[in-house]
Amino acid sequence: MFRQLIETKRIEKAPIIEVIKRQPREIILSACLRMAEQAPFYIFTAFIFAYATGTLHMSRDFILTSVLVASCLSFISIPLSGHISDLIGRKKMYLIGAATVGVFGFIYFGLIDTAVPALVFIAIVLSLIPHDMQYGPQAALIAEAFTPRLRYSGSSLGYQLASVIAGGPAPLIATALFAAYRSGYAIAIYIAACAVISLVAAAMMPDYTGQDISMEYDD
Amino acid sequence: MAIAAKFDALSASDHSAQLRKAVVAATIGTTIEWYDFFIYGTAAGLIFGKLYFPNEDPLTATLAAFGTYFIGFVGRPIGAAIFGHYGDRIGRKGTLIATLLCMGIATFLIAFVPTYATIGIWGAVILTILRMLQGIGVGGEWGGSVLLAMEWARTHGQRGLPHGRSLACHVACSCRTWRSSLSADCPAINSPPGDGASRSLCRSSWSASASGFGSAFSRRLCSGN
Repeated sequence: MFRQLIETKRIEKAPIIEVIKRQPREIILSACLRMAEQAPFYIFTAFIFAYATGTLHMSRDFILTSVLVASCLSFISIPLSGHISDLIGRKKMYLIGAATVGVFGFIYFGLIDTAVPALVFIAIVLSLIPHDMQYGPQAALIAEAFTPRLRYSGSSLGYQLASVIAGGPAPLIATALFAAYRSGYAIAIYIAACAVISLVAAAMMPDYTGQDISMEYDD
Repeated sequence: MAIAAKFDALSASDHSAQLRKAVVAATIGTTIEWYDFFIYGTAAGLIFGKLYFPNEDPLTATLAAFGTYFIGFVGRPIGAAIFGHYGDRIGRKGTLIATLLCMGIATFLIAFVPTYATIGIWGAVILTILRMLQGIGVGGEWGGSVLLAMEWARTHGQRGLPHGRSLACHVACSCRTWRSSLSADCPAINSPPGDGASRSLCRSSWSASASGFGSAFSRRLCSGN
């Protein structure tokens, strides 16, 4: 497809500046889109260690094993979500995923707080599935939103900005929330807030599922 | 349209062969990239504090080491801007290889940064710069692997074929799941530091050579742009 850009002489001199000028909305939406994917991911895979071992006094190895089982499950659920998004549309798939994670946060901490190993195991093993429902269609949803000649610049900027606003601060925010309220539900509310942001962003995102993405969008 | 028609002239079997190659290349690239990015977290938690901030108490030293770890996240949007520019100007494949090299070289050099005992605080300064380079590499890699996989898949005109665009780039991204296991593994596990320095050396050079191998392999696999 890049060869097409060369042949049609559609190479931009300064794609970064151009994409910020032409598609700022998609860049911001891409970053916001990832709130409900990244923030819960770091809470379910990193913060949970501090929470389960420090607060609930559970064994670190047990939590690690559970997270590893969840990761193995992701090998199936990520491509599967990608595949379903090919069939029903990425936007729809993403909206379902973001809504699921918003609700799941409460179930997750409800089960974890019992400190009953079997229930904790179930919560952790299921935890990545709502994440995968978004992560599956995400790359395509973001990358397709940008016109071919600005696609690498635009999608990279949007995607990586999220690691600054969503992923990076998530474990810190979760720790601070728990310190202030001493309840897992405070963190579940934070996850739900991220889900709302992502739902709005996803609803505003253009959907190019099944369409030709090789032609410039602004021609 | 004429060009699109020419492009579509590529036979269906040639096209799926290219797509398969692109997906494999993207998957290898992503796996290596994240392995390198997270191994630093492990090293930061276990040994960098002792090696580069020996005058601080252990907690401060570990915090300082994680400070250098965080710099990697700052590098990500910068990498997105730098490699985004080249990805849209010179091509997806070449740029993806460049991001892998950036990561591989930085990881390799981290193994050779002299410790505090040899050059004082400059060790930490060089470490921070190299960590920034790792972040820049990882920031550029995502776009390359996703676009490579996605732009080779063509959902339109190929309906009914179980090889949609998002499936293609999501097989490529599935290795993100490794990330969760690795990130779970990094600061959380109390494995004994042991002979930290030599272990970090062999680990990171191993991963650097894996990076080199990976980028060469990706290049061989992916003849398209």
